[in-house]
Amino acid sequence: MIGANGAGKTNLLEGVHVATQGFSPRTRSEARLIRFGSDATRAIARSHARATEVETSVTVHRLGPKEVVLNGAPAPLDDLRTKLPVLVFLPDRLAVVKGGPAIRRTYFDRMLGRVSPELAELPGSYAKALSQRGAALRRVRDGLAERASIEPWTETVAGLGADLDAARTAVTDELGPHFRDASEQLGLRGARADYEPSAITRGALEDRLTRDIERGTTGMGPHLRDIRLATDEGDLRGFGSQGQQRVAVLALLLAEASCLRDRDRPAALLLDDVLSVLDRDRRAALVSLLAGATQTLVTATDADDVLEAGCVVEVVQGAARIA
Amino acid sequence: MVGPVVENLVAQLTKLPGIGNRTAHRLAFHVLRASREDALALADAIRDAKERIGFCTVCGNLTEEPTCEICRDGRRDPSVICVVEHPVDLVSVERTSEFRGRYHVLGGALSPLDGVDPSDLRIDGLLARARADEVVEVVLATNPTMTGEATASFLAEQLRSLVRVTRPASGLPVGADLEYADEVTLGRALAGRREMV
Ligand SMILES: Nc1ncnc2c1ncn2[C@@H]1O[C@H](COP(=O)(O)OP(=O)(O)OP(=O)(O)O)[C@@H](O)[C@H]1O
Ligand SMILES: [Mg+2]
Ligand SMILES: [Zn+2]
Repeated sequence: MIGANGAGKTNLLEGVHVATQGFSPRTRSEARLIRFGSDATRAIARSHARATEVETSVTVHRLGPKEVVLNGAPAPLDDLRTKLPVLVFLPDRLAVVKGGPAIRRTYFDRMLGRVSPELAELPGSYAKALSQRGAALRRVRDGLAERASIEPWTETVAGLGADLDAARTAVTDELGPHFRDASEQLGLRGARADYEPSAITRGALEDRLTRDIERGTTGMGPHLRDIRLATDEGDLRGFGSQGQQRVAVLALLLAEASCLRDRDRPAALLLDDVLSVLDRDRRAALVSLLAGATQTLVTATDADDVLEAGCVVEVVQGAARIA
Repeated sequence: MVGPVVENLVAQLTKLPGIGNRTAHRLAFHVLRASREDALALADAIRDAKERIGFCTVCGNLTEEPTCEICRDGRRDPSVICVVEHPVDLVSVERTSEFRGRYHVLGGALSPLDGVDPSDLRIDGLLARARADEVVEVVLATNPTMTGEATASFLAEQLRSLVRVTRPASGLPVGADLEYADEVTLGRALAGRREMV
């Protein structure tokens, strides 16, 4: 998708995301998706998921809830995501590499849900158990309940925490080789994604119970761990150049796409402005990585010879047409 | 738009679980269209139920008498007690016809986030009942939700030295309330109950 600055390329990409995933990848306040002066916006997509055709329509109102229609019938939002997997790269996504551990935990926990849908609820359940245990700890500290009332939550947190540790370890293990390969092809050598599990157990939590009560919060567990993104030269967060960090973000996404393909659930890719962050050799490397792998929508300001293989859509002042 | 009297009726209806604003309006207009007898019969039924129904002093079930029908029924097996969160769960278990023992209704599940501590549930009463010689087994049929599981684990800890403690077999939809499990599934889960470890 090629067009000048401000032509509407990112809008178009965002529209594809809204129509297939049900929400904007860019903003939480979805009223911003609605054209200035209008009351609602609608994104419609006709897609092929394997051999079956899927038609989705998502309407966002300035007031009132979002409407999702899947093949002509109203559907819950979550149904879209599983029907039409899509991964998106936006140039401002650097935070995954550059930001604090909480951002990476959230990113990898979402990835976990996409790669292993049966585990999609696990991070949320763990968070819920943690807040129950936190509340129990504070009630005991404040003299409202007895110590024994913490026990069932210690058990729940330890169980779900160990599951989450194992799931993050598994997903980073699965991602690892793909991440290294994709990074290397984009010119970043020796890239790794390592998760060091928290080693949470019931016993370990019981050992620190008095401290946890004093602080009113659970002081160990996967909610305090980080996923380390590094190369042989060191942590990408601290040492990576801007360009290397960008490549790492893109490689994470491509690696996830490979995991999904291995599991026979290929995702479409939406890549906004990736070409401008790569030099010519890497642009060519990226295009050959993508070629034939999965459907990919790429935006760029200028026609680029590496893109010639694909179908070129020209975007001019908010209108798109196939060149 | 419709005046304060109707507004009040709508507001009261909205407090019911699962009733949103739109449904509340529909119900309110329905009541206003209905015959005087029908509408007042509903009002009387609510008043009657609220004034005459209380909690069984033994098990916490709903009853008009000091003790409930099940506690008074000599044919029910006194050696097994089935623990549930709410009276509605007791109704679900009864519908399976799979359980012939007695009940204990906790009145909720442990949830520190919502300020529900062990002392807010009918746990002391349960422990006292479990200490009686005739009681051999306690079935912990709290909901298969996070709070239900935590409550079961808390109770198992306290009961283990007194009686055999069991939990309905898995197979119930996780995260859902007993109330929504179908009779066959719930019946099977009760029949296949297992010792809690
Ligand atoms: N809610 C809205 N209603 C109308 N126009 C909007 C709205 N939100 C953004 N715009 C406009 O849409 C235009 C296109 O923005 P978009 O980000 O899609 O451009 P782009 O082609 O991706 O440009 P760039 O190459 O600079 O990234 C902008 O000029 C912006 O002002
Ligand atoms: Mg843009
Ligand atoms: Zn009773």
